[in-house]
Amino acid sequence: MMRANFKATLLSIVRSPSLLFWPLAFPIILSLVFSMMFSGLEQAYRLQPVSVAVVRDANYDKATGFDELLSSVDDDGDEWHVFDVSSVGSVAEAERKVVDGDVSGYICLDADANPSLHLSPRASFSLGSGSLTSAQSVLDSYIRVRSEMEDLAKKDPMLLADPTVLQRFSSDAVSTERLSVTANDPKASVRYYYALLGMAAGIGSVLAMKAIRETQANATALGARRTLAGFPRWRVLVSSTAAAWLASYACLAVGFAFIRFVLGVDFGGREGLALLALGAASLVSSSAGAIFGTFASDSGSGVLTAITCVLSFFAGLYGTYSQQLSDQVAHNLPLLAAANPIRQISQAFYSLMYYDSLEPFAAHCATLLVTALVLGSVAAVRMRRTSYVNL
Amino acid sequence: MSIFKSALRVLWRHKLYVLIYLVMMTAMGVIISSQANTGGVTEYTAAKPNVAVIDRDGSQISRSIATYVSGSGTEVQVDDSQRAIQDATAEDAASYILVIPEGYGDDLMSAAADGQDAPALRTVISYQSAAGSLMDIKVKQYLQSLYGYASATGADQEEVARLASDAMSREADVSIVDTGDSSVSEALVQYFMWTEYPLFCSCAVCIAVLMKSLNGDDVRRRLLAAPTTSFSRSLQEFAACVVAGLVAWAFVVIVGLAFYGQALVANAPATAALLSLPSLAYAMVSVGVGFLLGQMGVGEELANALANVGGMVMSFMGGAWIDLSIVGDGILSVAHLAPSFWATQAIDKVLGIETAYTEAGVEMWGCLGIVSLYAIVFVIVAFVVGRARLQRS
Repeated sequence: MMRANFKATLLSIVRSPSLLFWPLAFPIILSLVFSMMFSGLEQAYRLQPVSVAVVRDANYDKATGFDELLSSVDDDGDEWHVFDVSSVGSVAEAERKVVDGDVSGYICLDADANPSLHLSPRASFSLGSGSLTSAQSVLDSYIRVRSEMEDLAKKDPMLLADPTVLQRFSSDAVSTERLSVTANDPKASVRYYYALLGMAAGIGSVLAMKAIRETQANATALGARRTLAGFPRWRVLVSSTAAAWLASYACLAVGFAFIRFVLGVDFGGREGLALLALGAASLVSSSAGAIFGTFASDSGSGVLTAITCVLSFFAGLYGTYSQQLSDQVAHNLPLLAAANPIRQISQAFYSLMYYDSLEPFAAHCATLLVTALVLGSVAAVRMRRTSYVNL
Repeated sequence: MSIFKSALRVLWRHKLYVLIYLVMMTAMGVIISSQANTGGVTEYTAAKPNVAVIDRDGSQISRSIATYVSGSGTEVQVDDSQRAIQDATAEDAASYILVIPEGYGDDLMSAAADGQDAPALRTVISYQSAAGSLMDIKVKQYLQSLYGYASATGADQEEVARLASDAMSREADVSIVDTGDSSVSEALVQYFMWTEYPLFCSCAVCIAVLMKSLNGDDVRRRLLAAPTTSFSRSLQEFAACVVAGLVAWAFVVIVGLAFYGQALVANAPATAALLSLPSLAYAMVSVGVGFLLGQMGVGEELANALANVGGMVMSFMGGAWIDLSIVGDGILSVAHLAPSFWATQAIDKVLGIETAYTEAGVEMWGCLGIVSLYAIVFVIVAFVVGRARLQRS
C-alpha cells in the first residue's frame, strides 16, 4: 500500500510541469546568470584608482619627492594604481572640478608641505572605502618618510648624508609571506552558487506541500477519497513525503550537475559528499513542506516561498550586502545562523571546499538531519491529530 | 467602475502576496541598506578591516606590530591553531591575519644591525576585499620603519618601537568637499536599488493572480454578459493593475524616505522626488509584466516562479545587487537590454543632478524614458496576447 501511494504521488508530481518548473529550472537559470555575471568577480576586489586634481602651486614645488611619489602610483598598467592625476593651478579651480563631477577629489599641500586629500561625497558611493583608504595611505607614507627623516636629523644630522641609512627606511629586507591555510584557494563566486543550491532545496518544499495537501480530506476531493481508504495516516505521510523528497532531490541533483559539470563550479573534488548534503537538504525541505501540506489553505506555496526567500537572504544569496549581513549574524548570533537550514546547506558545501577535515561537513549535515527530524515529527503530529468537520 | 472595484477586491483577497513580496522584501531592503552609510556623507571614515594577530614572540617589537595592526583595523580573536585560522578564513571573520614567529623581534634587530634580510612574517589575506591587501602594505611600511630606526639609531627594541609608532601615527588630513548633494545617504541609494526586486515580484505576482482570476471561464462569461463595452472593461481591469503598482511604489518610497531620507526630504525635497521616479517607472514595468503573465493565463505557482526568477535576474542585471563594473563588456551589453539597468542608471543620474544640473538631468530623463517605454511595450503585448486568447476561446 505504501509503495502504491509512493508511486501514485511520484507520478502525480512528475505529471505537473508547472509544479516541477520552479525547483528544476530555478537553479539552472539563475546559475547561468551567475556564471555570466561573475566571470570577473575574482578581480572585483581590486582597488579602483581615485581621479584627483593636484594643486600645483608654490607649496607643491617645495615638497621634495612628492611629485615622484604621485607619478609612481599613477600608472595604468601597475597593480598599485591608486590615483588618476590631473593638474590645476589653485584650490578654487580644484574645488570647481570636484563640484562639476570631473574628478573624485583633489590634493593640495600646506605651507609645511603636508599633503591633504579632499573628496566629493559621491566618491564614497562609486569607489568604496578601500580605494579611498589606499589613496590616504599613499599620502600617509609621504608624511611618515618625512617624519622619519626629521627624527634622524634631530638625532644626528650626519645620518641624512649616509644614503645606506635612508635606503633602509624603504628596504625590501622586511617582508611578509602569504599562507594558504584552506584545502582549496578561496573563490568569491562559489558562495553565490552554494547559497543558490540552498535556495533551490528550499523551493523543493512546494512538492511535499502539494503531495501532502492532496491527502487531506478537507482540501481536495481526491484527499477525501484517499482518507476513506482506511490507510494509517503516518504511512500516507511517509510514503507521500518520500515521493516528494525523491522528486525534489532529483531536481536538485540536475541543478547540481549543471552547476558542477557545465559551469565548472568547484566543490573541492568531493562531489559524492556534495550529493549527500543535497539529500539531507531536500529531506529538510520535504519535511517543512509536509507541515504546510497538512493545512488545507491555498496559501501554503506563497508562505513557503516567503520563508525560502528570507532564509536565502540570510544565507547571503542576494548580493554583497546580503553576504555581509549573513556573516554578521553568524558571528554575533551563531545559534540563529545554525537554525537557518539554507545557510547550513551553503556552509556544508563550504566545508567540503575549504576544510581538510570532514568534521565541519559532518556537523552541518547532522544539523540538517536533526532539523528534518524535528520538522518531520511536527508534520506527523499534525497529520495524525488534526481534526476537522466535527461537531 | 464595478469591474475596477471588483478587481481591487480580488487583489485584496490575495494580500498574502503583498505581505510576502512587498512588505517583507522591502523590510529586507531596509535591513540590507543599514549596512551602508546611513547619514549624508559629510566626513571621511577610513576603512577598518577585521584583523587578527597571532603573536608567538611576545617581544617589544612584536607587541608594537600587534598594537599597530589592531589599531588600524577592528581586532577579532583567532586562536593559534590551524583549525581556528581555517575557520576565520573560510568564514571571512578576519580580512587580515598576521602571524609573528617566535624570536622575530631579536631577528629583526640583528638583521637591521648587519644589513641582512629579516625573516618574513606570515599572513593570511581575505579574497573578499582589497582591505586585507592594503593592510599588508601598511604592515610592510611599519616593518620598514622599525628596520630603518634599528639600523640607523642602534637603539634597543623599546626605543625603536616607540620611534616607529610615532612616525606611523602621523596621517594626512582627508575631508569631504561640500558639493551640495551630501544629504543623499548611501543607504537610501542602496535601498532604492534593492527595492527593484520587491517591486517587480509583488506587482508581477499580484497582477498575474488577479488577471488569472478575471480570466477564469465562469468569471469571464459573467463579465462578458455585463452591459459594458470591451474597451471599458479592459480599461477598468488595467486601471486596477496600475493602482496596485502605484500602491507598491508609494509604499516603497515612503518606507525608504522614512528610514534613510528624512534629511534629504528636509534639505532637498526636489532631489527626493526625483529619486523616487525611477522606482515609479520600474513599478509600471512590473505592472506590464504581471499584466502579460495574467493575459497568458499563467497559473499561481508558475507566476510565483517567473516573478522570482525574473526579479532576481533583473536585480543582478541592473546592478542592484552587485557592482556592474566587475562584469565583462559582453554581459554589460546584455544588461543594457534590462529595464532594471536603466532604472539603476536613472538613480545614479539623480545623484549628479545637483552638481551638473542640465547634463545629468537630460541623461536621467532619457533613462526614465527608456524604462517607461519598456512598460508601454509590455502592456501593448499583454493586450495583444489577451485579445488573441479571447478570440481563440
